[in-house]
Amino acid sequence: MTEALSVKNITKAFPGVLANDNISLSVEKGTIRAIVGENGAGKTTLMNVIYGLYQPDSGQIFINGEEVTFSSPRDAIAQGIGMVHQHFKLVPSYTLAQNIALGVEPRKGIFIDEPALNKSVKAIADKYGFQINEREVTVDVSVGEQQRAEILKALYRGVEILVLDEPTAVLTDIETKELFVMLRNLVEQGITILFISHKLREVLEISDDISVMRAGKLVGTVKCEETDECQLAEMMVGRETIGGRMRETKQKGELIMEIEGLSVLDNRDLTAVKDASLNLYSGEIVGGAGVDGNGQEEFVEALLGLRPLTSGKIRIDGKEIQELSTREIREAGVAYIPSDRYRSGVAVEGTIWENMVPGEYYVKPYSNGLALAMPEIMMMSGTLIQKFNVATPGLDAKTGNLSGGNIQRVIAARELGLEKAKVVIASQPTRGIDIAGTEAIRQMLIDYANRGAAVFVISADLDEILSLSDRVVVFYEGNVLDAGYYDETIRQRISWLMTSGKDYCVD
Amino acid sequence: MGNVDLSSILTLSLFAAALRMATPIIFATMGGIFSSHTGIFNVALEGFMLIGSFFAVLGSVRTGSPYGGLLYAVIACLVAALVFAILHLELKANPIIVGLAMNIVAIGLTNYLLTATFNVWGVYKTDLIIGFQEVQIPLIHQIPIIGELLSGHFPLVYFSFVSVYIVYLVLYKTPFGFHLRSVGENIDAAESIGVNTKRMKYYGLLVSGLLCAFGGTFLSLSYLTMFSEDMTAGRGWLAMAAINFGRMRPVPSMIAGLIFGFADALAVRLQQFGLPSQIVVMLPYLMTVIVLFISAVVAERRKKSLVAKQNKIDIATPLQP
Repeated sequence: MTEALSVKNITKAFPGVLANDNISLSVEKGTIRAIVGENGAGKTTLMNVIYGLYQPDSGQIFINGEEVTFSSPRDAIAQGIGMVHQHFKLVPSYTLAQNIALGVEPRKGIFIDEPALNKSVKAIADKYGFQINEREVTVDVSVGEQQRAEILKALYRGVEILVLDEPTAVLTDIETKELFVMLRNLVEQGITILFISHKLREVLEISDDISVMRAGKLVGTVKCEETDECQLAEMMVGRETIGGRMRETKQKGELIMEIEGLSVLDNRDLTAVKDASLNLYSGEIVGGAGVDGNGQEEFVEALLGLRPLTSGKIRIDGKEIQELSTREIREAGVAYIPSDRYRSGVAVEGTIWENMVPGEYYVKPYSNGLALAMPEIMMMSGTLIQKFNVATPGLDAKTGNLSGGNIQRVIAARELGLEKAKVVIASQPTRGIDIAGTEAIRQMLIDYANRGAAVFVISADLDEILSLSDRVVVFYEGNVLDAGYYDETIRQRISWLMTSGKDYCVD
Repeated sequence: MGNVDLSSILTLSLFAAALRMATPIIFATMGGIFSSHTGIFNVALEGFMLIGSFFAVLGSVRTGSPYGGLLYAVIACLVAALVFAILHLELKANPIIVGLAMNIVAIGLTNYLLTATFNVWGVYKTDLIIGFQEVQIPLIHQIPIIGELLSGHFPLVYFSFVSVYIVYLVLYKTPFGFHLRSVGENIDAAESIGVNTKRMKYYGLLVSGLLCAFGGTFLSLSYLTMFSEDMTAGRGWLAMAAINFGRMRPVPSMIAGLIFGFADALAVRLQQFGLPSQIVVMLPYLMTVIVLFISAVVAERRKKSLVAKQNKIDIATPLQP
């Protein structure tokens, strides 16, 4: 067997993160290699290095045994490496054929030779066994067909190594099956495929070899027929908890928030959350684990009244709130720490005090009916800023100038400081925050739960879930699955649920 | 007004006038289409045309030929478009703000130059301005009706229609246009295949300047041979409405331009019949509102049917096993 692509000792660091740590792997020609790992494991960074989008800090790339260096994706394409991104790069009003040939169109004089263009695209599609209506306008065809066009776009340019970044994330099940048939066809014709995914079931179905990454390192490479979901899940997630547990499991109190049969659509009007139920109890921290994009965001937005429900009921202390506005839901006692703190968490252009009052400015004592009651607002802001240790030059400082950790403290101070909330919903509360800030935020959530609130923490970081939660649920393809109470084996149950939707493993 | 015969309003000469009125709008529309396809909504069409009108007069007086005037206008408008492009593409200024600023500058600049070069205020009209001559098309001008309608126009009237075809060919049939349009529609796609997106945006703006120069020259060197303050009188804005109506496609946008031209001609005609001039002058803009309303309704319907179609595709394949 000949080697199509190999990388040796690739290291790539971003400020604060070692995304790829000394990675070496080699892929045989005409095989499908899956690269699996959790969010942030470094898969996409590695692919971007291979595709020339990033330049590695150190290490070498070899194609067909010869060392190459890329300064841009164009170099990579010229060397026969093509990448299909999660977000397609297609022009909506062009036909599929036009998109596939864009940039390398057959010409007749100064004009495009449309008949030749259609014919050449058809020829490539036939050669690799792709079903495609090349004359259809892109915006009118299904996502699966658009993806086929995107793959053909690479093949049209003579690519021999194809990198697919989470290709099944946007596909329906039937489209996924069709894709796999096509990928098999490609491999038989000598194309080499790198397939990034975190869905182990699919990976086991399609690949020849599987490389597992965790926290920027290559954990190992296994042959597909010699492994199973259990082994892969363990390799992906690891056994040891980094950072340690901060929480002692507490006895839960009474029921505060009931979520029953919740269904929600995503921005494309596809089902994002299906018939999900969850109860939150006083004094309990529930962790919501799961790979990003399994319905977490939509679920949380629905709870806050930011996204309409298609069905389901939400109750706080027995009262239904699903019809209420976001303000009314907050007044009913829900605090929210959103995942995108710069867009939804604070007004970055606003001052610190302005970001402390959005929930309060319209009620006494912070409003005197006509205008803001500035002395009270300043007093309240100043007290909370101190209590939550926000490092800022003053209450009039621009919030956007603070560090991520300090912005998160501002949000926590606003949401938790007045101690009005009975339920706290925190989405990715420590993403991108330094260690000290992370610990502080986690401690705030624990303290708040200890005072009798129900806390729900959603995080793609499994260590965070394990460090905080009394009980864990897992988001998997729009379902909210119960992983049970914290114990020694919960990590394994979570990893199975995250990757296969089942909390057991058949060896 | 009540006993005016409709047939005395809707005469052939009205339709001929409509073509004439539509000419500058069509030029500006084609120019705007070019920059719109690179993703820049050019609101400076009005200003570009006004600059073109003034420099056409200047060039005509200096060179003694309308073609010299056209050349002056083209150079001036390309410079104006280049200033726009540099402000937006190099200095990252918001294109809407830059466009609005250019419109204001155009009024002030032409007024200032009018005084500085010709030493007059408001209007400059003299025999020194040499305009274009009407063209009689052989054979066609002898055909009854059609001859009266199509023959005897100024050369730029014909060229405005030719420009529609050229713009269509360039945008839809050449690799250049193909790449240019991809910049406006999905800049990631354009970049991923190696298109120099910034250069394309320069081209888009420069072509819109070029075509506005033709429109401006027509205004001041054809039917009228004069320059007056703010003589474009909103035609650049009508062009933007036409682009919007035609969804950036040359022929439908041209049709919108013709409708606006017809409204303009009708307004002039109705004035002769004693309709209050305030109402008459409103007519082209009223027409614009109606046309845009219709196009918005049509676009909304299209969008809905597209969403329905996409949903059908998604429903056809179940989400889960």
